[in-house]
Amino acid sequence: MSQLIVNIKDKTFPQRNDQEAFTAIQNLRFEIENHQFVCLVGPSGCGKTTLLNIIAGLDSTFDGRIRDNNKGVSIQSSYVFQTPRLLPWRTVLDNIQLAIGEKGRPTSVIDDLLQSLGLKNCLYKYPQQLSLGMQRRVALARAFSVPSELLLMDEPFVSLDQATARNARKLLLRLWAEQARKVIFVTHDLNEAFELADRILFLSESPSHIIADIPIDMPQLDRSAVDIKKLKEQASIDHPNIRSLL
Amino acid sequence: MFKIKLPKNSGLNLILSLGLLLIIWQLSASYVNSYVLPSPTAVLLQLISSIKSGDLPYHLGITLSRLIVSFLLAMLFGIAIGLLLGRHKKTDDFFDSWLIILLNIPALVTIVMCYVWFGLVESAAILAVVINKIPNVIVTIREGAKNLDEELLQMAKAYRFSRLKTLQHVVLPQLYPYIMASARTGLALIWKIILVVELLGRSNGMGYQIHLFFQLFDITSILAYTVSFIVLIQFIEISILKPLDKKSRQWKGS
Repeated sequence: MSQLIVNIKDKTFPQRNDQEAFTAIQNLRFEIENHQFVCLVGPSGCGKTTLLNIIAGLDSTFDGRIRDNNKGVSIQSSYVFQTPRLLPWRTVLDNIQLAIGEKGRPTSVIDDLLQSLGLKNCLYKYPQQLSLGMQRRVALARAFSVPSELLLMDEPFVSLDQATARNARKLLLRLWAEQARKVIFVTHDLNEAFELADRILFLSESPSHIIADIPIDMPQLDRSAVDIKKLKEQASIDHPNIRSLL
Repeated sequence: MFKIKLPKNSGLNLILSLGLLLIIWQLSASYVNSYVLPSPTAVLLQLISSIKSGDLPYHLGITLSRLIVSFLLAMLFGIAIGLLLGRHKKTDDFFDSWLIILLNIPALVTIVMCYVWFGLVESAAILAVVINKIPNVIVTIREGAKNLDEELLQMAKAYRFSRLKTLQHVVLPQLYPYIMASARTGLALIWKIILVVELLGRSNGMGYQIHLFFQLFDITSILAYTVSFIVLIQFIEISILKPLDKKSRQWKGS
């Protein structure tokens, strides 16, 4: 069993011109088991994006260690950002193939994946020709096309309307069921967290650390709106310190 | 009051505008009636005879090859240095004054110094042109490099793009407008400098020829050579730069 171990003793942004030094994360430690879907919830500005960037290897100026207990330091991850971040001058297909790397994948495989996300005939389109919702789905397809063990998602459905976001969450769960991998999903929407997660981690205000770790045993696809409400109530009874967030 | 209606067709507009210029030229030539201002017809005839004799194609070819070599060198090094300075603030701060000095050295000084130091040789001529052009390329590309989209660069890093892949698919497409801008101004600047370089230290090329005609007071030939060069540069603009521009904008279309 591969297990991801995140251990950040200290992440401080140094003083710069008029801004004072700022400690974003302190003594934050957690492990993620194989195929676990973890949601990270916390007040805005508590360093959630910073945490994801550290795990993705985009930011190496911190005190601590991110590692996989099976392999050493290098973790292959894919990242779904808050904005789609597609290369506007490359087609949808090229955007995905470039992320996959050296060999790429057969076009038909990518086309199938896109079709399952409701994106027909857009392999050779440029991102600007697609709506924002479609671009987000392309970003999701890109993340799942990369043979990674860890999927990082930073509020990926944040500016979508309710219905589109609900569909996107369903698609995400379906893809995850088909191609299981560890997921770290940052959100500020508790309903979203209780709908998607195997386990929810609550972060404190910065310098952030974990203040509650709530496992949810019920399979995602069985959860109804009523179940989600009950789960939230149960959580607020078990963890009085996060009641204000709930 | 009445208004002159200009045709909307840009091709027709161009012909009318150039036609007007030719008429003014012709009229003033007949009015002055002197060998210092030959008529357009005389220039055209001279142009044809120079082409036929093979003189003009030879010297134009020499100048053109110098132009291509120095243009490519200036663009290549200018882009590389501009990118470096645009991405590394400390290096940029340190070398900024060098760039300002380079930008302010008169072209003539660079040319003379190159000939003095390296002799009246081809490489000195090319080097002089490149040194004159390179600071402009650097400044333009540096501006572009400062404005690169950090989010896309992060994406490239997250998905482990190699350096080459990042350059090719993330950086260069964003620099494209800046590269095109410096290529355009570069072409215009370089060919003006090349003539001076040739005039001062080469025994062939357009600059050398024009110097020769000046000593012979052969104004007709000077104008014939000028016309041929303008046509050539326009040809490069229309047949190479414009299509490149169009291709790079493909993704912006609907």
